[in-house]
Amino acid sequence: MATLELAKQAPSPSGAASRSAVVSDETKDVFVTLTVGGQLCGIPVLVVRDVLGPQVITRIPLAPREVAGSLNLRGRIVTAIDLHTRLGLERADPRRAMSVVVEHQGELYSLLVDQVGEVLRLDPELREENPPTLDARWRALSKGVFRLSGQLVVVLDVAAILTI
Amino acid sequence: MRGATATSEVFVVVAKVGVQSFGLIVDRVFDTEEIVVKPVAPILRDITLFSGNTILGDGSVIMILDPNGIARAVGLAATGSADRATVAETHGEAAADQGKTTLLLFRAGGMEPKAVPLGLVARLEEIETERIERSGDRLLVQYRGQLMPLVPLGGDLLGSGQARRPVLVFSDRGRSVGLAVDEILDVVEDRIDVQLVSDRPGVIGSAVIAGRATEVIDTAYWLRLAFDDWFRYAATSERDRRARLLVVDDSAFFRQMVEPVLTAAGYDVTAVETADAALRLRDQGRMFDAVISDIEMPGLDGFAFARAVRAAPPWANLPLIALSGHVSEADIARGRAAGFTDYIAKFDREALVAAIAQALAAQTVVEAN
Repeated sequence: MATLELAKQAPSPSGAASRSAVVSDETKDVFVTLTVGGQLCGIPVLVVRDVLGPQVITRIPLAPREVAGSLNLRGRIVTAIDLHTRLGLERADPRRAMSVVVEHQGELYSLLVDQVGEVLRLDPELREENPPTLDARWRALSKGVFRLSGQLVVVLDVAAILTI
Repeated sequence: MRGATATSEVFVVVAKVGVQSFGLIVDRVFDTEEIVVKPVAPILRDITLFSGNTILGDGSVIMILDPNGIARAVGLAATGSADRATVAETHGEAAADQGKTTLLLFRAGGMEPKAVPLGLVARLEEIETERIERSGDRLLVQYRGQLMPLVPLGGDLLGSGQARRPVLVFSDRGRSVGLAVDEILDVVEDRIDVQLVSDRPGVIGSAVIAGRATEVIDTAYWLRLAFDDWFRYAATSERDRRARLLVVDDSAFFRQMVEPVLTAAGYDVTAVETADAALRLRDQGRMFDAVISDIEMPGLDGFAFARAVRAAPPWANLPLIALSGHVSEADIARGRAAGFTDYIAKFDREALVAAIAQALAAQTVVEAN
């Protein structure tokens, strides 16, 4: 397992050493880690377009509960999804939430999370099925887990998350 | 938006959809701003109260309300002629005073800009290429619970490799047609002064719009490719002296369609929505060379309007041309009895232009004697 650095964000002391590895075939095994309600999660780096600090988000009346609103990312309108609500937790505070911007079917969505952590390459051999103890709501949005030293990384299924 | 009126407590934005007016109570009115409405993200498409969203000058994102959607949501069943958003409608009316029209500029099959009156466009959408389906030699897309024909204005829709397509959606009487283009460029307010009449089908002619030579699209031609009976227009380049025409029609769609057509034919066109509005122009002392009126209108219909025009100067002797969806012998006889000079089937552009030319020529002879 290597620890890599994502462009401007998620500073990691060992970043420089293995940066070039990201561009290799194994890019699909590289995940941006983040936390939602204290739980460590991973999103495939391939779908991530940007990581942003707290943003001005325009609320959209009548939108599904999970839609926090819209924001302007360099002239493109991005729909913000509150991962907390999506995962059955209390609504996130948009003034403090970080945004992981992902691309799905040509559209940009921003996933509101607590914190964005390291970028990790995780050995696909070590991926495990969703444990039965995982909350049903999480299970539906997860594509398996990795066990790191004492921590569980839930791999989020971006397509499922955006199917609201 | 007709205007926002302050009371002691709230602001009311008066909106009009078709013949139905309603008020929207709002907290605050800021300003007016010219915007390009962008389609909302797919997961928000079910919310019919919004026609789209946009980014304002200060970088903030705002949602655009759809008066049609609001009217439907509160049960002000918008039917038939309620074909497009009021904001665009009043735009057209306000602009008509200065001879200006709000135009949507886009690109399709070439780099040069093309234009269509924004008021004609019900909605701008972006449609994923993979959602486009083929049925015989037609292209269709499932849109708001209906099958909408798509007409490619530019090149090949399916083979271009483009994942998404901007589509101009036209709606009239419950039917929609999408014109697929390459790129939406801008919305501008300008005069449609067609300088070169085109003999190419689908193009009215070329005009200088926003400082560039721009092709004005003959929407009717393209819509007819989707629905044979949408209009019955053929390309014509007939010209007459610059006479002033008054068009009376309750269908905003038709008003905005006929205006560029008659402008291209060399006329100075004023369009109003009701016979009452037309008679108010008369009372204000406005003069025209000919009046073209719809027959089927709410309020004063075409026959009553014709009798009112004939009843009193100064319009009593003007050529008066009826436009109607029904053209039977009996209709024509009734029209003539009411005072119409001529009776033309709606959407028959050639006949309309010919009838105007003939009526004006006859009028000139009368005046000369």
